[in-house]
Amino acid sequence: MDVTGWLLRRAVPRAFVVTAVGGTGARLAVEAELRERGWYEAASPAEADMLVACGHPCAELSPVLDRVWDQMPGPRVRAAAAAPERAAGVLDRARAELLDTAAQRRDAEERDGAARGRAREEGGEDMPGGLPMADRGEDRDGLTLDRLHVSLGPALPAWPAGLSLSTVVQGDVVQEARVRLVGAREGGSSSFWEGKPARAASLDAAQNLLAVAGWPAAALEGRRLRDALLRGEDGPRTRERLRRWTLRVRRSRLLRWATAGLGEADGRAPAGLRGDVADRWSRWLDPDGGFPPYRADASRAALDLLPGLVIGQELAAVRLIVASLAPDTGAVGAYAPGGSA
Amino acid sequence: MNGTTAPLWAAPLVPALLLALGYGAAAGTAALRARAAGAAPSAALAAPARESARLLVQRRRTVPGADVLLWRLGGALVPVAAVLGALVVPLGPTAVSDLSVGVVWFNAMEVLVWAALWMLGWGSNSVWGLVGGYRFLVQGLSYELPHMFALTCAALGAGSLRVGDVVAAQEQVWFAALMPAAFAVYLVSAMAMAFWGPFGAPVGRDLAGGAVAELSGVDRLVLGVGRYMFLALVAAMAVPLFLGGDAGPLLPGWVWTLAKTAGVLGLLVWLGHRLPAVRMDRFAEAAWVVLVPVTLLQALAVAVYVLVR
Repeated sequence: MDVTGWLLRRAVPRAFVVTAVGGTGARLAVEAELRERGWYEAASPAEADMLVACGHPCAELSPVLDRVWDQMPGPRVRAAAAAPERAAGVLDRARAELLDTAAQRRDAEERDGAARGRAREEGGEDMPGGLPMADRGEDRDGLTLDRLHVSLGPALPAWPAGLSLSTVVQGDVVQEARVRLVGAREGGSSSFWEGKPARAASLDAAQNLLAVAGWPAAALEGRRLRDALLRGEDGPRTRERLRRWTLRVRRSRLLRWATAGLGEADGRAPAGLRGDVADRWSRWLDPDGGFPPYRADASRAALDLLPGLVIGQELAAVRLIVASLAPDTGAVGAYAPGGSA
Repeated sequence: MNGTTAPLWAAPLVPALLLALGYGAAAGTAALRARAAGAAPSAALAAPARESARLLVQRRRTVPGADVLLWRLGGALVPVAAVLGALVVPLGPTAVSDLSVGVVWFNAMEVLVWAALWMLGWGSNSVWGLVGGYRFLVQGLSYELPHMFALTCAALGAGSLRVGDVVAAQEQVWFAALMPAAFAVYLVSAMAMAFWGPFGAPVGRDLAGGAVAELSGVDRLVLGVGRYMFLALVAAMAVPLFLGGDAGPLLPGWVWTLAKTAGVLGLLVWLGHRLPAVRMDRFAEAAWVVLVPVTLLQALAVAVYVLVR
């Protein structure tokens, strides 16, 4: 009896979703499919069995996808959802490939063979795992600590498409930060959200922030409401659900406590970005429409603000600040952020 | 009246019961998630089993430069700590071992999880893991003192560290009613020590999974199962400490123990669904400035009550 195949058929897939700049439409379609099928989204490549690339990965993003692919343990499958309408078919095919035990076994054997080959070549390494050791420097309290060079994104869940934040981290505190866009498009700078309900854009930013804030249930419901608005459902049931969800999130003292006083942008910033993280997400949930966080000028300003706001913060705060600035990288075009520190 | 000690053959029953309760918690979580996603909650009953099937087939990972011993041991330690801690929890009037220092034993087993998560995070040689480990240490430093004072209140009320004596002392009035602040703090710290719900930051999605970011396959399964068993343990321990143990009308004692445990577990699962994560630097402040004084005052009130009773 083929136990592996039997177990695999019962398994619910877990997808690691990476979005290219301009792939927002494909991402939304993939997210909606995953949610409706009851499939899961992986937080890291290690737990994933499906790699889904949304949109058209550029030459710079492809090697990133290759590295994510290498980190996936297997059985594994790689899928590309270039356009929103293909999402369902792509996921169906990926699932079928995942169940092909013969092909999965071949893949595993090839990888094992390649790993053995590499181990023979490398022999006699003096660093653990052949990796360089971290250098050291003084931290904010004057202690000498390891300095780790960590790149946040572009392959990170609940993270703006194509954004790469190169940081130097001591402990979990960011000491230096530099923003870069992977795959910024020449000329073509059209936001997915133009012509779509502004409320849906706000909900997308809000669900992303809720996922980062460690409230997966509220994030999931936010996605569901976002998808309903995008499909044009605006009946009394949707409105009532939206009202109750908004009320629950706005009233959450814990969420306000976790986000207040973080990433304060002063009066020079565009109106939609002013205030702290809590001010920004509150505005999205405003019943009077909220501020749509997807315009080109606001997104550019957000990218310029970013490094200054995250330096000196620990990683949880950095994630919240980025999610609250919610730059729409599809809208900024070929833009090289000048703000580095 | 002291609790009685079970025969040795009853010992395998402990992991079995913890597993069953933990499975229930996982299925309940999946059902709440399905409802939020707009999918049918009926599939949730099988969801933990299906995820286990997936992880059984998934291959284990190797990470360059990982401290493999610490890394693998860290995950395995969590279910072991849960089972060892449950040895002193009575089912009905009977525990596998009614130690004279049962409350301290429970506390010691629970602290094993500190070591487990730190070893997991450190051993994986990954920034995410390391930061996840840091987060749990901060969390531990924040919840542990209030938690210990809450346990102290229960022990003080009974004048004994034996779990059986704590149950016996609640014949008139449950400790949940007598010392509500201690009970509330216990529930908060229970979620924190199982890194559950609002205290899930050490394994948070914002860190790509934090301490468990690099785990796959059977290693992830062992940790996941262990975490739910641990959640079941902290829920089960609330029953003898604060909810009168097996006391209840009509039904036999063991039914009452299980019913109360399921109730507390359900509450923890629901809270985990309804609350966002607490940021650890803020919680550390609140724990030391608010929770420690509150539990100390509670202990003072209990001490006065015991003297004048």
